Amino acid sequence: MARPLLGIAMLALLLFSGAAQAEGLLIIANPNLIVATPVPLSQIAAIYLLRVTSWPDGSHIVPVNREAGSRAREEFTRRVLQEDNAGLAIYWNEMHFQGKMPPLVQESEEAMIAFIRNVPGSIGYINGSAPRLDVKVIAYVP
Amino acid sequence: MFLRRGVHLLTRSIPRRILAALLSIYLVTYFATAIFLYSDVRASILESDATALNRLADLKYEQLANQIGALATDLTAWSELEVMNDLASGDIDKRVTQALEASKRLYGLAGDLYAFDAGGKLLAMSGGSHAERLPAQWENGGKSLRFIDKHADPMTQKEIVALSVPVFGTFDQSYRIGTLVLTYPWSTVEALLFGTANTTILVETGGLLEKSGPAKVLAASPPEIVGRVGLRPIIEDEWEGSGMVAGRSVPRGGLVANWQVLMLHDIAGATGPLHWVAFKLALLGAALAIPIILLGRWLSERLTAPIADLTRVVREIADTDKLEARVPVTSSDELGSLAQSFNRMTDNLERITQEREQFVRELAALNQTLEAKIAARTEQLEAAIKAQQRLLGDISHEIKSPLARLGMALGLAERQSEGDRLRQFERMEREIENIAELASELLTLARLDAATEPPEFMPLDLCPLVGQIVSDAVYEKPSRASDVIVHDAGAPMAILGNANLLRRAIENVVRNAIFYTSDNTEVAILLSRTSPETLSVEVRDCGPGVPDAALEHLFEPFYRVDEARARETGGTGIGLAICQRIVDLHGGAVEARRNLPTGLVVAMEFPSASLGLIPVRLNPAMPVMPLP
Repeated sequence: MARPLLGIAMLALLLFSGAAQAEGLLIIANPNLIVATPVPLSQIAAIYLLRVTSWPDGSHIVPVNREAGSRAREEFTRRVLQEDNAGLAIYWNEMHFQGKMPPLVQESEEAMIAFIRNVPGSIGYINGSAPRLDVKVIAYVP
Repeated sequence: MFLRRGVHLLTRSIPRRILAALLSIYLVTYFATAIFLYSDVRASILESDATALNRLADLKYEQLANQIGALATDLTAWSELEVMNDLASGDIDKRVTQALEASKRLYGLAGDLYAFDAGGKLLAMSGGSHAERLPAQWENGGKSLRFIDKHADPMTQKEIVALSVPVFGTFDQSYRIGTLVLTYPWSTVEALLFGTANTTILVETGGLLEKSGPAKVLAASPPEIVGRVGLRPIIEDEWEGSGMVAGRSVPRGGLVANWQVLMLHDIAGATGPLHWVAFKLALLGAALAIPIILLGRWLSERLTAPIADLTRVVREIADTDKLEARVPVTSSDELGSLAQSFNRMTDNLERITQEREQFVRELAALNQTLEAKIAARTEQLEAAIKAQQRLLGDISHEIKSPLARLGMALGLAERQSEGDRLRQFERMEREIENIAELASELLTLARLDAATEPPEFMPLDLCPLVGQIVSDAVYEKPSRASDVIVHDAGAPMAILGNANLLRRAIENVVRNAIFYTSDNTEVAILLSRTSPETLSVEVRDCGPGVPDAALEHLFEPFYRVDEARARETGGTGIGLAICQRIVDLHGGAVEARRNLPTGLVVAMEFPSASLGLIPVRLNPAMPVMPLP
């Protein structure tokens, strides 16, 4: 089952490779995740805002952010969440009262990738457009 | 030996016996009390020591448990830090390493922290040496912290204890991302345990119900203590005979539930101060003994003083035989009455002794008197016997002479003529008369000497008796009539006597004075009352007298001053002896003494009789009773 999915992802990457010459964002997930790709960005935003906490197969979603101030984080906030930092801060303040904390942070791309690769149900993002084998690319933001 | 001498010294006298009894009562009481007190205090000291040790052990254990507990809490907290999520990403950013190092530094950890990922691979550590994999000892498959007891650190090979906690993702509490291990050096445990000078042992009891392994000693200070007391008392908590007091911590739950802290204390050390107390008790006992001895001595001497007095007095009496000693009566008790009775007894004895001594003295005096009397009587008897023998000799002599003359006259008469023969017969007659007179005189003397019956006495007057004697004598020798003078007293001289005997006695003296002196020689006869009870008749002549040496023999029979003159004057030679016997019979005395300037005085004294006894004036011409 993993191999056909991998093939689809690589196909998608090939499809978008021409358009995304400039650095885009790759939304990545644990390679074992079974999900239909590409996952819509609105869905991804919902995951990162903790509105959606489970994958379709029922497994727990572990969203992972880059540290605040990093380029990937900034692009992700702007292009996927379509929010600025101030808006997000207000949002998390409100969420804090409901006992919810923002997603955990990995401070480097390598750490992000290692974490996603290791932790089942995890989802993250990295700059780039090249297809990856160690993680599952579930969406691409040009 | 010394003990026996001491006992002998103490029991030699009653006061000492009392003193010894008092002293022994005191000693037994005091030392029994002291020993009881000492053992009681010792037991309570040991008990409180054990309690204190228990508490101390408990404190130590609590300290240890707290320390381990704090470490466990810290480790658990660290395992839940957000950064531990990096274990999932292999700690690529070394954030976990940084966190571990910072923790070690900030908390001043003695041991090290190790973080392993879920696969057991070492991802981060606070220091120390490297190991690739999680050691089997430290594995923790559970969901909570695990305590790993004393063991050798797989990393450093040093003795440690360790805490191992599983790490779960903060994003998913069920997702195991690794293991966090904290090591804690055993030396630090020991430092925590062995803070004081006390003997401390840490035991792993194995006593937890689910773990029934044998107990073992984890640490001991000093290390040789286990060897000294042995393992048995430590495990079985039996300290009898080990010389130690022990306290142990109360078993509790928690990570170190199977640890138990033991605190030991030498009994000698615990009871050390008691030795000083015992010494002071003994000192106090000795100090108290001094006033008790003094008091006991005073008391015993006071009690037995009357006995001592009695003993002293009895000994004094026994030694000196003096019965004057008396016991002082000082009390009214039994001893006082004993002393009184003793004194009474001594009084009686003294009186009896004095009486006996007086009797003895009197007997001795009587004895002496008796002896003197016997001696005197013996002397008298001897003298009398001698006198008798002499008298017998004299008598023989006196008779032999006339008999010889008689014989001669008879021879002459046979040969002579008728006319001459007559003259011889006359002479013979004269000699026979002489012999008859001698015999008569001797008979008188013998009768007077024998005097078995006293002659009949009656009152009479001496004066007429003497007057008649003198006139009779002068009648026989008229030539001397003018020479004889009688000095009458002029008053009756009454005497109780025998007239015939008195006449004979006085006549003899008067006739001697007249017949033994020559003519014209004065012869005086003095009658006088020399005292109211004494009458005196003195015959004094102024003749040739008698030599002084002869005076005392004049009254002996046949004593003659001058033999020649005696024959010439005649007389038997026993007249004065008869005179003396008669005067003696009348209770009077006769003596001869020299008359001055010459001559002889013969003085006779008679006891006087009352005048009223003479009924009539005696007739001077009263016929003289013929002598038997």
